[in-house]
Amino acid sequence: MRSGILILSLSLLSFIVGSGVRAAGALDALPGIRLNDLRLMPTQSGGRLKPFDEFARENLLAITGSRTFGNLDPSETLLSMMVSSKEWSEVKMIRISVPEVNQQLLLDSGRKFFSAAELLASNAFLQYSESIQSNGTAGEQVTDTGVNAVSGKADPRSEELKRVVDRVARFQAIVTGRMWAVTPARDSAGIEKWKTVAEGMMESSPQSQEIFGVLKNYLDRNADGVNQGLARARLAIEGGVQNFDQHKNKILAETFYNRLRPFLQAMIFYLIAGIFWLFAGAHAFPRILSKFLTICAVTMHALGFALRCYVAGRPPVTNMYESIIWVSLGVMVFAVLLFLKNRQNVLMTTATFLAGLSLFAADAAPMVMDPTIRPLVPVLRSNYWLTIHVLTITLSYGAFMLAMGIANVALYWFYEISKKGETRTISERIALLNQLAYRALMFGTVLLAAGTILGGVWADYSWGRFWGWDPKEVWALIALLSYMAVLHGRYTGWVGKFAFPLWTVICFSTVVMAWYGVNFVLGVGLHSYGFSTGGQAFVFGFLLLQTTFCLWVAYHHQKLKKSTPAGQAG
Amino acid sequence: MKTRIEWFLEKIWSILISLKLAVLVIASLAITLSAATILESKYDTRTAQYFVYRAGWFYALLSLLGLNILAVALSRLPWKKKHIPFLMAHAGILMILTGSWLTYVSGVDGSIRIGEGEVSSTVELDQFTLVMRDGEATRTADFPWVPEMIARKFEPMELPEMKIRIERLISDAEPRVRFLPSTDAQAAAPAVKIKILGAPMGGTPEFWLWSGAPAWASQSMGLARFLIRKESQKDLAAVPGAGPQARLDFVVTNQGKLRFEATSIRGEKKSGLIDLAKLEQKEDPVIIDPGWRMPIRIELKSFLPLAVNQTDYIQKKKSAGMGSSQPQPAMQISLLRRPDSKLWLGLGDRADFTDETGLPISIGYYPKQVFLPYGIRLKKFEMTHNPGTMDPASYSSYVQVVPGLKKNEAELDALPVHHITMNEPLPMENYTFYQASYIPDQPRPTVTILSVNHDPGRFLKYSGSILLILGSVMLYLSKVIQKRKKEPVRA
Repeated sequence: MRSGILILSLSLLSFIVGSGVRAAGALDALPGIRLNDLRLMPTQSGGRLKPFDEFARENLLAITGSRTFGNLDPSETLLSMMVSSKEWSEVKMIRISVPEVNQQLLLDSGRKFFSAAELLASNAFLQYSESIQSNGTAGEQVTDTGVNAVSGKADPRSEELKRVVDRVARFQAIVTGRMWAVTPARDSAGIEKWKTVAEGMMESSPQSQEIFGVLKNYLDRNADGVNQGLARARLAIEGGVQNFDQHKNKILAETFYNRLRPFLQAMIFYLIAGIFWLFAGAHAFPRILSKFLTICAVTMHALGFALRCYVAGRPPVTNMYESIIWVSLGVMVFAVLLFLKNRQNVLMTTATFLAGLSLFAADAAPMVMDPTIRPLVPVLRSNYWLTIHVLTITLSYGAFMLAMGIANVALYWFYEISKKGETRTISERIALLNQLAYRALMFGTVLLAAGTILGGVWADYSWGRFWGWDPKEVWALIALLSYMAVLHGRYTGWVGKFAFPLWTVICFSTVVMAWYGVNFVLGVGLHSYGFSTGGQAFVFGFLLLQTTFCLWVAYHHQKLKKSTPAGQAG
Repeated sequence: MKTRIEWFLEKIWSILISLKLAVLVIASLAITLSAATILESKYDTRTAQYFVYRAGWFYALLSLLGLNILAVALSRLPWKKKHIPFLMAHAGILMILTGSWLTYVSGVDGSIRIGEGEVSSTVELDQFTLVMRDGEATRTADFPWVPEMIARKFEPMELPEMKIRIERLISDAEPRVRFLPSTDAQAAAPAVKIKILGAPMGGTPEFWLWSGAPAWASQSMGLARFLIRKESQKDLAAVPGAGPQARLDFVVTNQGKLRFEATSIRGEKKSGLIDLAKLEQKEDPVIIDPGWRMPIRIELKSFLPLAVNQTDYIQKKKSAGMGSSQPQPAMQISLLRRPDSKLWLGLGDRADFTDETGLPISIGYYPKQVFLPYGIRLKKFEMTHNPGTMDPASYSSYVQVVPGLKKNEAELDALPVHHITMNEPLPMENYTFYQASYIPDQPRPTVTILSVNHDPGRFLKYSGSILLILGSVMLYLSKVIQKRKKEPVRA
C-alpha cells in the first residue's frame, strides 16, 4: 500500500555510511560548534536567495508551527535532522492543529504533536496522503509554497490534512537532503535553479561534498571538523553565486533580523512602557522611564521595519503580519504627534498598549500570520501606486485603532459617572478624550479616503478599471462611510458626547472587517493574494468583548439618564 | 399664501438640503454594501452585481446621495471663501459619481485572447448572447445572466425571431455526461457503469467507463485504475508516473461478452466472465472481487454494448473550497416548431438542428463580442519565474497594432512592437490594453489574455478624486486652525 516517497526514508547519510552508528544524545547540541558560517550560508528557497538561518526557521515553522524547536538553534536543528534522521523521526514535532484530523487519522485526540514515524506507521495517514498526492497538491507545496499559502475558502479539516501530509513530506525531504539547495546552477531554460544536497551528490558537486563532510563530522561529534567544513562549504557556495556582493549584506541583515527579533523586543518595551505611562501623571520617575521605554520601543519597531524593508526590497505591507506591524507603528506615530501637541498621558498609555498587544498578536500566531518574507505575486510587483495606496490605507487603520482605544477610555469614564456621579473633572476629561478621538478620526478618514481613491487609481492603472465593487474595495468604502456617518451625525446633533465614543468604537469593527474579514472570512474577490485562514476565534472574541463592553456602558448610561433630569448626563 | 405645490416643493427642498438625509443615505449605503459583500461571499460576484451593484435601486440610492450633496452645496449660496474646502470635497464626490455613471452607461470592459503570431480584434464582454444561423440570415439576441434563485423559477420563453424556445436556465452549470444506447456504428462503443464498494477514502463512487474516447476509457482512483476496451483494441499502456497501481480491465470480447481482468499491485492476476443474464434480471447485484489485498469490491451497475455520450448541464452545487470562480451559465432550448428537439447549450456551445422542413439551423450561446477598429497581433508572450520555483514572477506581451487591411507576414513583422506588462498598459486610440492573464500551457504559455477598456468617465473620476482629497485635507486643516483660534489647547 505504501508508495514512493512516503515510505520512511533513510537519511542522506545512511545511504553512504550505513545507518548502524547511533551515538547517545544524538539530538543534543554539539559542544564547540560555531554556527555562524552555517547561519549565513546562502541558499535558494521559496523563490529567493536567503541565509540558511531563515531557511531553517521557515522549515521548522512549516513542520512544527513555530520558528524554533526545542533548545537547539534552528540551523543546528536542521543539520541534526539530516544526520540523525531516525532519532528525529521519533521526536513528536509534527503538528496537527485541527482536532478533527486526529480523529480522521485515528490518532490520539488529546495531542497536538506527533512523530513522523508514528504518522508513517498509520495506515489511515498513508491512504490520505496517497490520495492527496495523486491530486498533485501536497507534492507541489513541499517545494513551492509554505505554511498558509492556501487560497480561497476551504474546509479547515481537509486543508489541515493536506498540511499534515506536507509536513511529513517536508520532513522526509529535509532528512534525505532533497530540500536544502546548495549548488548554484541554472536549468535548461536558463532560469537559476539550485541543486539540492542530494542532487549535488549524484553529480559530485563540490558544495554537496563539503556539506556531506560536515554531516559526517557531525555524526562523529567532531566539532572542529564541522566548523572547518562549514567555513569551506560557505565559501564554496558563496563563490558559486553570481554577483554575490549584491546579496551579501541582505543575507547578513536577514540573519541579524532573525536573531534580534526586533518586534518581540518592541512589544515587551511597549507593554512595560504602557504600565509606567499609567502612573506617569503622579511621579517624575515613571514619567521619565515611560518616555525612555517608549523611545526604545519605537526605535526597535522602526529598526525592524527598516530591516524588513531592506531584506524584502519592498515596504512590508502585503500580508496580515506585515500590515499589523505597520499599523501599530502608525498608532504610535499618531499618538506621538497628538501627544506633542496635547501632552495627554492617556494618549500614550492607550497607544503603547495597543501597539504592544498588536505586536503580541502578530508574534503569537505564526501559523495564521506567516512572518516569512516571500516574493510578491506579479500584480503587486514594483508598483509605486500600490505602495502608496496600501501604506495610506493601513496608516488610516492605525489612526482608527488609536481613536478606538481613546474612545474606549472615554466610555470607561462614562461608566464611572454612572457609578460615582458626574464631577467637573470627569466631564472635562471626557470632553478632552472625545476631542482627541475626533482628531484621530479625522486623520483616519482623510487617509482612508485618500488611500481608497489611490487604490482606485492603482486598479485603473493596472487592471483598467477604477472601481469594480471588489469586496476589499467595498469594505474600505463601508468603513469610510461609517466614519462619515458619525462625523456628519455630530453636526446634526444625532451623535452627542456619549454616542460619539460609542460609535467610534463600533465603527472600528468595519475596519476589522476591511482589514481582516475580507481576507480571512469572506475570502472572495480580486485581493486573493492576501487570503488566508485562521484567527477567527481571536478576532470574534475581540469583537464580542468590545460589543459587550459597549452594551454594558450604554445600559448604565441609559439607567443614569432616566434617573436624572434630562440633559445632565449628556 | 403658498399653494400646495409650493409648500410641497419647499418641503422636499428642506429634506434634500438636510444633513440628516445625508447621514441616513450614508448609513444605508454602508449597510447595503455590507449585505452585498456577504451575498457575494455566499454566492458569487455576478449574483451580488445582479441584486445590488448593477440594480436600479442601488443607482437610485447613489443618485439620492448625489442630489443631496448638490442641494446642500446650493443651499449655501452665496458661497464665501470659508466654503471652499467643503465645496471642493463635495464637488469631488459628485464628479466621481458622475464619472462612474458615464463608465457604466458607455464604457467597454472586456478581454481579448491572442495566441503568438495571431491577429485578433474580437473583444469578449462579460455579457452573453445567442446567435442563430439558418439558410437565410444570422440573428443575435442578448440574453443576460440571472442568478440561481431567478433561474430556478424561470418560465419557458419563446424567441420567435430566433426560432427557438428557451426551456430552462442554469446560472452555474456543470456538464454531466450521460451514456445512451445507440446504433450509430461510427460513434458508438461499449460502456460500463461501476460502483466501488469499500474504497479506502470512504464513500461509494460511481462512474462510467466508455471505450469510445481515451479520456473515458480509463479512470484512476488513488491506488487502483479501472479501464475498458474491446478485445480487438490494443491494451492501454500503463500511465507513466502513476506509481504502482492495481488495475481492473473490462474487456468486451468479439462475441459481445464481458470479461474482467484484475491485476494487483504485486502483479497477481485474476480474471473471469461476467454473468450478463444476472445483470439483466436486476435482482441481485453483480459484484466483482478483483482479489486485491484492499477490501475493495466492484459492483457492475450496467453494461451497454453500444453507447454514445451526450452532455447535459446541471446546477453546480456550491461547496466549500470552490473559491469565487465565475459562474458559467447554460440553457436548454428547443426549436419552436419541434418541441421534441430539446438540447442543452453551455456557454460557448453550438447546437445544430434541422427544422420541420429539413433545413439546418444552428444556435450558439457565446459571450457578447465587440470589434476593435484594428487588429492586435501577439508577437511574443513572455513569462519569468521566481528563481528555483514555478511561481510566475511576471508575465508580459509584445504586441503590434495591425491597421485594417490584411498584410503579409513580412509587413506584419515590420510593424512597431509595444510591450504590455502587468503594470504598464498600452493606450491605443479610445481603448487601453492591460496584461490580465494567460492560458497555462507546457512547455511555456503562448496565449495571452489582455483586458480591453474604454472608459469615458476617467477624466471626471480622476479630477473628482483630486478635488475630494485636496478638499478633505483642507477641511481637516481648517478644523484644526478653527479650534486653535477658539480655545487655546489645554496643557
